[in-house]
Amino acid sequence: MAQPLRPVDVTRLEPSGPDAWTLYWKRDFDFRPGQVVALSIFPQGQQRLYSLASASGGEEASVLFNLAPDGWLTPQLQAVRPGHRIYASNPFGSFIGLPGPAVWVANGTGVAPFLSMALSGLTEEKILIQGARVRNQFYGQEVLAPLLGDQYFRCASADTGDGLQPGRLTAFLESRSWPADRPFYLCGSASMIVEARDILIRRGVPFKNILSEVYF
Amino acid sequence: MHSLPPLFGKTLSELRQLATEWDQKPFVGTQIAHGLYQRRVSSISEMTDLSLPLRERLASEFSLGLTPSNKVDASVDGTKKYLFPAAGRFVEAAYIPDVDRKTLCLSSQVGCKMGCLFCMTGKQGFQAHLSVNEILNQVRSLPEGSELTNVVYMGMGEPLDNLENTLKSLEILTAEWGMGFGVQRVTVSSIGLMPALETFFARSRVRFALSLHNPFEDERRQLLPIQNVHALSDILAFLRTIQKTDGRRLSIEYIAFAGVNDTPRHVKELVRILHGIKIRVNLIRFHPIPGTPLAGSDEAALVKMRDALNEKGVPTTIRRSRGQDIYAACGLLSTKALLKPVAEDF
Repeated sequence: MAQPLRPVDVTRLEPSGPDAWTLYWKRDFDFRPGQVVALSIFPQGQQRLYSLASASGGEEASVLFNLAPDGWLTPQLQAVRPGHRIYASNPFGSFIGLPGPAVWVANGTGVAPFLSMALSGLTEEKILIQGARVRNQFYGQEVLAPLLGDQYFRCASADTGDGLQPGRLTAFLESRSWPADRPFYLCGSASMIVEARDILIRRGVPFKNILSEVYF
Repeated sequence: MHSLPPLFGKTLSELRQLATEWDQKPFVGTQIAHGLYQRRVSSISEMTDLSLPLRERLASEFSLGLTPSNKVDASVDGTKKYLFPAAGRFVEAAYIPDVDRKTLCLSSQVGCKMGCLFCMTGKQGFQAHLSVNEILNQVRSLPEGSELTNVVYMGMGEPLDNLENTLKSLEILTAEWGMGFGVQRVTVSSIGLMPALETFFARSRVRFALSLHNPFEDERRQLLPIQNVHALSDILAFLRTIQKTDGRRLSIEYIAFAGVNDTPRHVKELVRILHGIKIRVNLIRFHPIPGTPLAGSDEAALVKMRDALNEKGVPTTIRRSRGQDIYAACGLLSTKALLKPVAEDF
């Protein structure tokens, strides 16, 4: 079903990188880190799904989005201001972060659920591998770096220095051995997920330990 | 490729609007539709029921928009896999002749975004949505196009992710003014995107097949990532509701994987979740793709599963594999070797 929507009032809209924004509104619902909401500009309008990027116990809820200039929703989201009213569903979805060891893999705005998980305190025994082209495209890195410390790897395909891992995140996955017994959470573009999943399976990770969320 | 926009692929309302914009009577749009879809003209000049000045204007502003396939592989069993240029790339369409029917399995996207574990198309990532013209060109430009009895949207791509173009193509395919396929001869297969599925049922009358592949939600999401946001229970609840007012035939696509989804436990759960829905299950043999951790169920397991489901009142058949020697079978369509890599940085 189309998700039932209800009005929410925007509290902030902040840039999160080139063409990426984080939209905040007052949280009046419970959710589990990793869940998504449907958003729309109109009460009965077309909806798009976004992972919540905020702490599950925070005062605000937020989503991270890339501005798609030809898109039908993100240009409107990018134009909202504090006090504007948009429409959001209750949270749903089963790509949920849990305590215990796990490896998180993300590209683009696919880092959003891991931001939520990290901000919600699920950082113990977690590794995050984030892929982007250049250093200012690692959305959320200011928050993630102190929370995850040396378990946070930024793989830059067209940048070097500043603690970056040179090359694509798939090259990073290929270069390491990975414990087969821990869950891998993949989130981002279909291309990244399919490539990363193939690498992990080839390197001995059972497919049952790989959970994916495709952004489209 | 055509430098002018294609005429083929426009709906009747679009053609009538064009006629009106050109100071013609709306019925001129109907005449154009008749030429495009029923008389199957091969050039605009063949639309001789239109005035010469109108034909000349049409030819100066539009191409007819038919693109022949540029490669075909033929199987020993008669199946043919055609490669069509589309969206600056290529898509595949499988022609499957049988005793009582001739079916085309067509593509709706170049590549796919859904990332299903067992699918070859998903391996190439998403490249492009097909336009209405590119979807229907696979029917019209198929050498056997005039013999087709059935069309299934089960090739490359997720049709409901390209919803508007899929719906327009279905309108043209099934309309009396269009290509005239009976709605019972056309099936759209989907992994179940919501709310696109609701729109599909509201705006089309063709048959629907749900790619289910595992009745347990925790296990299904290992095969189909979409399960994380569009839960099977929600999709089945919708189908159960819609079936009360909508008489069209529903079916389940179920690729059987050895030890993964073919056990008595899965049969029992399938029976449970399908209770109250009039639906047919098609068990499909899996043909391994490179690097897959999955293996297809053997014949004995398939038969056992089919018989167990039938015994429990769930009508079930095993789909015959076709075109295996040319990689035209389910889940094997991919033009990856012909595509430039996606320029994506991660």
